[in-house]
Amino acid sequence: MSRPGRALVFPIIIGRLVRLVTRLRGGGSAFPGWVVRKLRPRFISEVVAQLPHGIVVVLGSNGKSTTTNMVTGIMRAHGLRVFTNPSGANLPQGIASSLLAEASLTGRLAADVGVIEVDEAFGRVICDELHPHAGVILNLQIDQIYRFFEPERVAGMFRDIAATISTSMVLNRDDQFLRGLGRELEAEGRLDVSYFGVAADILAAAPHGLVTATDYGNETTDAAGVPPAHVVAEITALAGRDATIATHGAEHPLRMPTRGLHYAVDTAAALSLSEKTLGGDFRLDVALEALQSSKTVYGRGEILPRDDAPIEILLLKNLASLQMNLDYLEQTPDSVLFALDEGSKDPSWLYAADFSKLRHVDVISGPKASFIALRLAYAGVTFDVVEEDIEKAVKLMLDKPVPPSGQRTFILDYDQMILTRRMLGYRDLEAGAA
Amino acid sequence: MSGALQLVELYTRHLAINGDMGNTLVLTERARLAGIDVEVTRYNPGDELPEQVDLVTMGSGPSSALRAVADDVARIAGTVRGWVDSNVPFLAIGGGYQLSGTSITGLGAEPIEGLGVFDAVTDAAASRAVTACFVVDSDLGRLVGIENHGSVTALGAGERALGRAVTGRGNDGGGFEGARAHEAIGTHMHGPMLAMNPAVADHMLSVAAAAHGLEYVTNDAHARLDTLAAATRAHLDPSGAVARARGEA
Ligand SMILES: [Zn+2]
Repeated sequence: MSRPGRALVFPIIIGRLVRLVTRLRGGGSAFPGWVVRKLRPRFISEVVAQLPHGIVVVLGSNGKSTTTNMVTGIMRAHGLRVFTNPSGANLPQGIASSLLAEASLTGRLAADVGVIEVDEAFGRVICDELHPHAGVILNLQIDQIYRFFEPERVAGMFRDIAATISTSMVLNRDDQFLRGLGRELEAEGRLDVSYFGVAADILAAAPHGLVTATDYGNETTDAAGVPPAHVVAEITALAGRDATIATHGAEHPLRMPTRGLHYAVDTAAALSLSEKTLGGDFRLDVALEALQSSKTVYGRGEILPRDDAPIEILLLKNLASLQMNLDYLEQTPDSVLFALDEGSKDPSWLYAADFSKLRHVDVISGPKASFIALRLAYAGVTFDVVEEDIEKAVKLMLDKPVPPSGQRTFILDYDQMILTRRMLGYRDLEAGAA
Repeated sequence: MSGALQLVELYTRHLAINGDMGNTLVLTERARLAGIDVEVTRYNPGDELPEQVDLVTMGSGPSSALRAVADDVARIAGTVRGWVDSNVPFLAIGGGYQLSGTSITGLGAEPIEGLGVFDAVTDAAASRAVTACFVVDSDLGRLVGIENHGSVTALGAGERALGRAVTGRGNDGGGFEGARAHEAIGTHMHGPMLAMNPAVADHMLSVAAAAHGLEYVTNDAHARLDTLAAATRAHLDPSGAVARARGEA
């Protein structure tokens, strides 16, 4: 353990001042991190080097925030103090900002382990500074084509990130690309490679599977090719919020905080990564209890209580997250707001989604509302109003009578979710979103 | 001939990376609204092709997918060219457009032979062109959509472009975009190109219906979709800058 020391005092003081000023001005919280890295380029490395259990990283197209939250919960339940980056703060400046908020003036962190959600595009840069001990990759889905162009490119990013990890890597057995990466890493022999997965019958019953990208260069690899002994945790039954998770030959019931196969998969991933990280200190009963009592992350199957009717928020980030959320709706929602922000730069993927779970949308909103309206019209889903302004749209929803189901459903992307939460009086905004 | 129009979506499993299957949906839905049935065959490598074909769509895919279907492309090229020669409407997007040409280089050691629908050679190892407001003026009117490709396509002498690229790179940055041969269209305008440009869909359907002894007539339901499409087009070009630069509204 190296002592961070006095050299960090000046950058931290400046960073804190910047943080104070940006906070007063109501600005974004990634900027202080940017400043501190300008003053002290190795700031992240120097601060995290002191963590006795090191850093574990969570990667993947979808489910990073949820899984990071679960792993953090499991670690805390084991009595460890955890440093983690707030959901969405997964770029270098965001991570530096979070460290700035929690470190002492000399850069001391009151933490035993770091659980960090990492954006794939910046993963290599971040991981070169974090020196992670262990990592999990949740999935490789067709995501942000305008940003990554091809799934192969994302696979390459994951490969680069794996090269920075020192001890163990946990991968999704049911993802073609990640299985391929696993084989490469096993052949290389440097890391302890293990897997999590979903029983074949559950996958077969899922309307659109895990919506992972196809590795056309390797179409023949098969989940059955992964030896069961390498699978730490597997989901073997699923009904609504109730899952069964098998680990080391025994099955355990688990009541999840929210429903859906994507959530169950994240659970298996979190359990696997925690076991690999904690080793002999890992206690399954403690981990399962932590998973059952964990809260959902903002907007991921979160239910906002209201006086008249609660609002369920389904966060959509890309095709996979929208599809998985739709597939695991328990019934056709009868009061729906659907909003898309400009952040969804190219909404072409809407045409790859299956909207048969929806019958009617009350209000379509967000800057990209017209694209949703056109898509839903071709899908035969009716709608009442297109109102680009999300605040007006939310008001329109709240002015409507309580629907028969007693619940309203808001399908939102990240930016629209933040605006909606703020408008509904939830001011505990996620810091550092970039 | 009577009954339903037969639409073949080529390489569904491989060429559907960005909502390109939306084009098949737009054709079937607009036909249905006009009282014409469309049966869709989703074709994958090794499958049998249907006897009768009235419409063809082909989406885009990553380079690994283009490589993966290359052998099958060689197998069906003659048949597909036959359809196009007999004026079957054909729409190919992005990677599908490239595969519809003569050959693609830059996707590995060996060039990939295309369907040969268009006399067009693509270098797929070029820099990336991303155009959020991609505007093309064509015989079918002004087309608006999104461009995102890392390729340069050279049309053979005498081969007709789809239109003039008002914005974006188009084929090679030289001012032209896409290709047109008989009733075949190849373009980089990806995703739900037909949803945003219903005039193209209507043209394809009119041609296919007429060849089938049917008349494709649009109605209020189409008009409603077209109003929604106009809003998406306006969104991509909010200031109307493209229209103004050309001295229009
Ligand atoms: Zn996330």
